Amino acid sequence: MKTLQNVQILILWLFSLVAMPMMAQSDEAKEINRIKLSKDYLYAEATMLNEAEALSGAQAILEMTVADWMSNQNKDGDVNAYIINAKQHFTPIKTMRGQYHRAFLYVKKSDIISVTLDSGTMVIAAKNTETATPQDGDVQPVTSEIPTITSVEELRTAITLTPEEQQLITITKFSEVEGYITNLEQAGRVSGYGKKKTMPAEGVCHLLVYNREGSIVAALRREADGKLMNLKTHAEDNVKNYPDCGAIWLQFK
Amino acid sequence: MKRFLTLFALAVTLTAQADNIQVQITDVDDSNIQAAMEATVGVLLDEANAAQAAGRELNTTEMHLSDDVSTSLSMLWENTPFQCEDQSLVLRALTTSTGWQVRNIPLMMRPIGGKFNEREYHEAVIDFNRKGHVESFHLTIDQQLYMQVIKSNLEMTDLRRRQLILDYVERFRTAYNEKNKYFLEEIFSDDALIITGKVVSQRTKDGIKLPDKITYKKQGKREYLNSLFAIFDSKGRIDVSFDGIDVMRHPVKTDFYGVTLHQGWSTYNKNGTPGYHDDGYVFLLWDFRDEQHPQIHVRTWQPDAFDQSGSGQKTPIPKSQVFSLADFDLDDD
Repeated sequence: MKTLQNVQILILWLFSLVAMPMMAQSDEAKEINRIKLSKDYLYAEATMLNEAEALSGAQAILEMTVADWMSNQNKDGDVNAYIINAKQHFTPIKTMRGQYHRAFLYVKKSDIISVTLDSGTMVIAAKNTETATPQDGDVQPVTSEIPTITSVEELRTAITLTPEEQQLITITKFSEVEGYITNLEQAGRVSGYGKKKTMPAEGVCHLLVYNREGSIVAALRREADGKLMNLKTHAEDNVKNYPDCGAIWLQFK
Repeated sequence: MKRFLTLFALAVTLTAQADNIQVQITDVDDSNIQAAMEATVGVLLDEANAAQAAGRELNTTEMHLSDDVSTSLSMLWENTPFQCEDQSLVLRALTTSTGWQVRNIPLMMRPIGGKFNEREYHEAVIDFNRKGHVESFHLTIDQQLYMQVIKSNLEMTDLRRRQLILDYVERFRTAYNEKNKYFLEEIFSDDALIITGKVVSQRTKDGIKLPDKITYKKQGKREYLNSLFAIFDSKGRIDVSFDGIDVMRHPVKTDFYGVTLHQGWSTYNKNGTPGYHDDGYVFLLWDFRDEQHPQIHVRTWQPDAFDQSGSGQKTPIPKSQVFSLADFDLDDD
């Protein structure tokens, strides 16, 4: 009789070993599904062998999802600032798929709240923390300044840069060129642009030199006399100084 | 004891009750179409699991698929049979110009009777038309490569465009493995430029080894595909894998993308014995002006390493010598 009881206990123990993790995971999966079915959240997930990689992957996707959502909401202000704020509210749920780690990350849409002031200072709605809740009970915004992009070189300008050139030298990536040219076109400030091969032989012209990694390595101005000036170093330069690089030219009106 | 065993059997049955996968699809404005899409995904995944368990072919007759989709699914199954281990799925439908797209369908690649030599976890994408019928079923690119591009902030800020490009890169890869001639005919533009590198080993008359040289051969679409299809017909199996990816968007012509891939190419003879293998860089110039019908205008292949000193030791090809978007000028048309 005692042997029979022992067998029953052993079977129950084995069952609990198998079933309990399944049930626990099922609860997490249910919570994930609940969030996915709600319209109140933005979410992303990644399933990878490494848990940290899964989490960082899910975070990268969720950041892009927040950016997409923001652009669809026509919110004013710096999208990056919204993302920075949203990231404070990212909540993970971790489960397993076989040997793989499934990282599910979500954020409540109402937690992505921010207001942009004219000064460029971003007011970010505070999390419910003690420091953010003043004694009078009003929600006190926490301010965090969005840094203005100012290159060190700009502060020691030796040649005069036009507003377009000042903006030109802030471009650091190949991907930013499109937006820059589009804005100039919309403002009627550009008369032509293209790859270096098609650059006009004469006249003042600007060149953005990029490398194979997509980084802008130089912003140059070709003067009327053909001399090339580097707009950042304010020194004379040459495209030959940038081997294995491509270049986009543009002419301002 | 009898009562105990009955209760235990019931508990085990309930725990293991995993026959039908519950599928819920969100963001479809028509409830009838939504229900039809959910039913299709559910039937497909249930059938995949049943076919896996029985070690048989996938039966697509109950799925009401078009011949094209059915053939594509069968080819995929032949190469990479899969199963779904999730019991309940909530999937978001993304609106496309032709209907909806459902992504992130979790699958485990499980070859029948053998260990799969690639990463096991993949995700599937199903495109539905406006009537809720399946237009295409394909796997997304390997998760490691997917994240490599998603995490890089190089050229693209748009998540959808990134996913679209990566989807087509993966469809391009599987077209070789599936010997899908139709897809390759469609994806290469008629004026496509194909450049293939070849390592030429050099020696002096005295037999002294000199550095290897790479010579490049230019081909048109027809010439390239004819040679490729001859390999398809003569070989038993082709295995193309990508383990590195770099995506660059054209700065001015923003619907054009340069994709550089590190590729492994293996062929197997009809009797199953290994044939040829090489590793190299493939560069593809993609044109996404028509998102539904993207085209490849340029494909290049270069070895990833060769003897550059004459010492007999292969060293990696310098990155500056790998073809990229900057090497090609695009015409205005």
